[in-house]
Amino acid sequence: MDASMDLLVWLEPDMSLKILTSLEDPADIVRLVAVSRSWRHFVVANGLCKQLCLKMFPELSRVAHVIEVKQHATEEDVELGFSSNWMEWESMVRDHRVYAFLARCCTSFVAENCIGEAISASSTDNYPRESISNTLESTERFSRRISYWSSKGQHNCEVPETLIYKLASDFCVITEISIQPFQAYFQEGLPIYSARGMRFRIGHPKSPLDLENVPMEEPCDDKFIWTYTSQVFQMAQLNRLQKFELPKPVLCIGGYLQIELLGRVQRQEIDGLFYICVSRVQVLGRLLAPALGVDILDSSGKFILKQFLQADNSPINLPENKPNSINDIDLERRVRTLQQIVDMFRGNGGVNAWDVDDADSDEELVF
Amino acid sequence: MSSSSTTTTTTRLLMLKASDGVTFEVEEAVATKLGAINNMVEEEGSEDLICLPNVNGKFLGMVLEWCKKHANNNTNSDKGNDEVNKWWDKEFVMDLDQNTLYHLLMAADYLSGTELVDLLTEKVASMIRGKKVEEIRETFKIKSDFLPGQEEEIRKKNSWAFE
Repeated sequence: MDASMDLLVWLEPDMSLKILTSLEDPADIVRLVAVSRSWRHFVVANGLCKQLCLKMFPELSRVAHVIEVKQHATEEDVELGFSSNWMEWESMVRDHRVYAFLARCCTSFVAENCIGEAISASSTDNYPRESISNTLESTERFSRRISYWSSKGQHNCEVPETLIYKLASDFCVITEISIQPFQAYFQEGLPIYSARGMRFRIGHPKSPLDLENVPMEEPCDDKFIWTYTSQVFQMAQLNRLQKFELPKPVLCIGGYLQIELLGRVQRQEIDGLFYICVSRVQVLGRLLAPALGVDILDSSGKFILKQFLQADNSPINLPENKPNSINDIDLERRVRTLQQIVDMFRGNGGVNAWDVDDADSDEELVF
Repeated sequence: MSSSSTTTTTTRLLMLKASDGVTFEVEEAVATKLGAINNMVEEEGSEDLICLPNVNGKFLGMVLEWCKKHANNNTNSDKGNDEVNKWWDKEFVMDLDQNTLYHLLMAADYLSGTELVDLLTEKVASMIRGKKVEEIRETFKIKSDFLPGQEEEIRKKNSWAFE
């Protein structure tokens, strides 16, 4: 029998740790647990999965603790009076499980749309016709109404605007944000009311109750605590969906996204004021609900990381991604815009382009 | 990463003595790529013979060979050096068996040869990355000591990692 060449036996723990923490694929780390009992102990006791997650998402340093929540269960199957060592080991094993699951969810997925609903815009020129809600995708039935959000006009081109959205889950990974500035093709010169740049923030409400009955056309930025602020991305004055790919994915903890539009570039001819208008906002990433969730504990952003389990203690798997949505929507959108332009040149679009009747000739565009 | 003490005596030779008595005569600029030796030179100044009781001659020789290559490459024109170093590093670790790898790693760690430690730990990591459990056991000559059923349980609960 060959002598063991087990690195855990040969090398100092620090050196073994250096080697094993350089593994970046969660599957590699999870497999180590099955090598031998000492490997399992090493991986779990050193929290290798947690370290991997922290490397991917420094935001996770705000995790106060990790819990597993069984669906339809009473809260009594904990604290059975085991020794504290055993309890400590169990909690390390649990952390390993939860972080391994999280790492896996965050590393392999097809991006999906993560926006849940529009909350409010810092200003709206004509509410509800130019409401922030117009910037959302509706996968149901497309109308041919021209839909966009418009800020109020400003003399000063430096005045920023903010758009706040609720994401479809309080815990998700965001990989890409896209914004399409609006081109007012019904105005002379076809001006595009883009912003000079944008950055985004992620956060949670100071109190969920505060968010009841928030008027969509008024600012409500002070009702949130923003725990993440991105770099500034440049925006082009072009009428197309502009992708702002994040240098690395961002873990969104708390479920709210603020897009800050920085700087105005387009003045409106008739009143000489600067406006920003957006026809579409898209946020791509992966929703971690219903498998994982968070409970924000306090204003510092400390939170409890929760994994939800089925009745038999197995994890709730995230739904398989349906790769239908995004591209199809893009295509439909384009077809629709073309149709609008054609209509306009034919002269049957009218001046109130946002109110074009959409009752007919739209059937082939519906899902 | 150059040491200030080397500026006055660039071609000074140091004598390094390994645990088994084997000695190596090395240019200071080469030996001071190792943090531990650099410290000794800076602290003890004029001492030309340095005893290294924790490394034997075979592995000290290999560590110094690596230092020499890197020191030489770095004195050549700068562009392309990274490429040369990378290529040479690859050659250096290519055929190392685990036993040599571990001893070298311990020697490099003892001598604070940070870059060499990085190279060697990366080599060990590459023996694990993407490998099946059986391959890891085979590589590192590890016997499974799980109780019956334990390993199956682990595999079942994490089937995604074992596919």
